[in-house]
Amino acid sequence: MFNEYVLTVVSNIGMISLIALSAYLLLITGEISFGQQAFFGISAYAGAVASTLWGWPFWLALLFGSILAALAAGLVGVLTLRISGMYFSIATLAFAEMVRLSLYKLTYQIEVDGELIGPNGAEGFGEIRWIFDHDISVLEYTIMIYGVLFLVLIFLVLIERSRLGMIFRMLGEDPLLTKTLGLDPVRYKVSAAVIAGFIAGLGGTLYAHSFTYIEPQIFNVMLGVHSLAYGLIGGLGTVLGPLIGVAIDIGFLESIRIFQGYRMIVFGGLVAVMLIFMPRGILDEDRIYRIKAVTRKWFNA
Amino acid sequence: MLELRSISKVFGELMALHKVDLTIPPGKVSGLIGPNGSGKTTLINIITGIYVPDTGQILLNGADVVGSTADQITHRGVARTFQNIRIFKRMTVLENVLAASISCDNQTLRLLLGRARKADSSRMYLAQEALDTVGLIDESGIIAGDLPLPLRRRLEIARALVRNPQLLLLDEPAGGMTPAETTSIANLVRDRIAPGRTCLVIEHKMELISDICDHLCVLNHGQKIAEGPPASVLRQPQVIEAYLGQA
Repeated sequence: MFNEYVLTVVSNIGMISLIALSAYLLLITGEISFGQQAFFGISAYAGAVASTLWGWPFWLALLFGSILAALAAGLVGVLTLRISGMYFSIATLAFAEMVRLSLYKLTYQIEVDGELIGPNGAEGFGEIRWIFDHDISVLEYTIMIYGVLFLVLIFLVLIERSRLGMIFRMLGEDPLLTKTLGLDPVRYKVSAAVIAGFIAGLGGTLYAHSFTYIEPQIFNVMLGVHSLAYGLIGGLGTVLGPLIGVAIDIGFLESIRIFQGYRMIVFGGLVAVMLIFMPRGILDEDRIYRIKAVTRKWFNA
Repeated sequence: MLELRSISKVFGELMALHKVDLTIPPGKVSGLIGPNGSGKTTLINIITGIYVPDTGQILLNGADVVGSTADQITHRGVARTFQNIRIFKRMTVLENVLAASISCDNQTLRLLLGRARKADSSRMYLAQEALDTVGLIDESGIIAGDLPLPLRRRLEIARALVRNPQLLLLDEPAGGMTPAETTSIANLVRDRIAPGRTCLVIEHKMELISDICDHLCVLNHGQKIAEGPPASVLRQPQVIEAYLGQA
């Protein structure tokens, strides 16, 4: 019924949206992380090991991978968020590279159905065949991805409306002022890092099971840079911002033939133009405020 | 209320404060004046935990709070405004005031996940009351970054008031204002904010200081050179010299 290529693009948008949302959450607290791909990767490996080698149910594996990613993010946050700013960015990049290079050394294979499978260093980790074993179609798996994405979006909308969300935005604008208003910045930045790690983790395990093969090189710095750029293009005023960024890049630039080969040039140029003319993206706080004001007026009319 | 004992602070080669003693009596408005670079803002930053003094004691209601962080000092009932106005420019006026009261409650997960802008909460009532006090209630829904400077200063005061502080520190509340706006701020502080509160006001404008302060302290080159009732302090030769260059 659906074109498989289109479905692959759509499911890819869904999974990459999760890592984009994780980078976005840190961006609104004022921190630029170049390392969200590490948590995506940790969860991809952990979730795939849990389902494929240990035979865990998929949803439990998804939770396991994401919790592990959240714990790793919390650890990095506790160690680095006291320094914040540029140092935090460098520390996250260094951590992510450390994780990626460690994955090249990771060999953990066990025999499943007479075949040795599991992570095998640079050769990667194949045969993550949960979707085949359970006869899940591409369409069904895409629906699962969007189910998870939908829940994450609802969660983030609730966070944005909450006091915690207000604190995140306060930190993003002025951490010193936030501190003089009685709030400990490190505590809330670490909270944001843990939530962001979990969300990136959800994307990671989903990704591993979608492509059935992962290797360390997938989780390189370009994935992290793209995740950051999605929020900066789409806008930091709403959770929908990063999704717009992903849709523009993967849905438009990557999937339309005319751009193939030039994608990175167009994408890089787009980021540069956006940073000059719309530094907080298409849907920035100001535009979201004005959109809300107009819709309120309509409702009241 | 607040007592500073022998506070010193050095930045590199610069002695910003040298053995400053200061007592802020409760329920009064104290003024802190001095030429540019005399150490006034450094002193406020030390009282609010942004800087740690190199030596000395800060006694807040009898307890030494040296080493406490800015958020801990805030929880002890101190609120402040800034010389270089600091507001959340991307939030509305009302949200700025609501943001200030978040940490008044215990930060339990249930409260943290509760709605920040809940219409019928006591926080909302207090925020609106603070905005009403400073005359900003009609601007509640405006993005704070769109406010003109005098209203931004009022917003900072509302943000401090919403915490019902025991000690309110106002750092140049009339900075950058016209004489009419300065008179308006002086009236606001004297009639609506000061009664029943302990305040410390840093200011350059003598008409404002002599209008609202019960007690005055003068700093010059990081040292206290005079202290007492405004009328007598402002007549002292060393104060006149510090401001005008000669007695």
